[in-house]
Amino acid sequence: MIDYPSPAPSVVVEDLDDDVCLYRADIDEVLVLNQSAGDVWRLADGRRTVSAIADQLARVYDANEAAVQADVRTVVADLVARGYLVGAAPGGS
Amino acid sequence: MTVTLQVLGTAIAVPADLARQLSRLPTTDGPADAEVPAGDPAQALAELTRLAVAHSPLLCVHAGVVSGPDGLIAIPGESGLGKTTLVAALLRAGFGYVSDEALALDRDSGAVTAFPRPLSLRGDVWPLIGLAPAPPPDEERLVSPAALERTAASGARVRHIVLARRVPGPPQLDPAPRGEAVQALLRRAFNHYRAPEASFRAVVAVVRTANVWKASYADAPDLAELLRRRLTHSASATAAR
Repeated sequence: MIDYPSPAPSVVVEDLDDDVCLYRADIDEVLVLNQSAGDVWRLADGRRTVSAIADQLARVYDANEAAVQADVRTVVADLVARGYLVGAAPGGS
Repeated sequence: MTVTLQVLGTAIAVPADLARQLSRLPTTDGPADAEVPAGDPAQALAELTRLAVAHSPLLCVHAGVVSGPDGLIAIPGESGLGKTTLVAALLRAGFGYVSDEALALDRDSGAVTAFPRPLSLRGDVWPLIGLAPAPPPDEERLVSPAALERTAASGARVRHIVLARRVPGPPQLDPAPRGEAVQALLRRAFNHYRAPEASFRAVVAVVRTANVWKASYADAPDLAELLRRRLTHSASATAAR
């Protein structure tokens, strides 16, 4: 798992209603994030850790912190695996 | 002998007999960007479409397009969905003809350029658009747009996007998430690779101001009638606000 996730440079982003539309021209793929995944995306700015993103969303949603931590890690891991998010590994390497 | 036509924002020289069938497309005095070789009309039409898309400055998406009471209705779909038959049924239901093949969008303004090419229809579909005498049921022939009563002008905007699929049962039409339309339109774009980022943004801009519907149908006339009732109602409600 990376930390300090941020959008990959090649990703084009457009808001659409409450969703977020992402486009990777290099593989010609559109990915539509629902509102909660879109909230993770918006906070993944390269300055927050994954844990800090989850803390912030848990406060906003007034939800169970452990559950939100797990959900955010799942979303970030998926977006990293698909090449939409990049970031530094834990420890700053 | 050839005639140079303005097709999808580009100039293509076509055989004069095909140009007569494409009589709703404007001619141009400018030089042609490409020339359709003479051949049988169906082959020449397919070649014209290929060349027009290849040279067009517009974003071209594989879709049937008709005009309704409050704007255009785009039905993206691959060959085999039955787009042409569905478009013919929509014309019969009172919609105007824009194209059975391409939604051609200006990437900056979202305005649509009409491509009212002849409809290639089997004989058993001819009665759907009120044409007679029909050829044998399994014989496919071109129907000139000049024979159709309503042909829409260019410049209108997309108001509805219908994601259609054929399944047994009665027709259904339900609102769908806009994101699905972005994926459907971009997946079926012919030439977005020339300006991928601008094309993506143009598609999102079009979808943002359109109603997106998911439709299932077995028979094209049934869906056409359902769309006529629902979209006419939608336009009346909008006008009354």
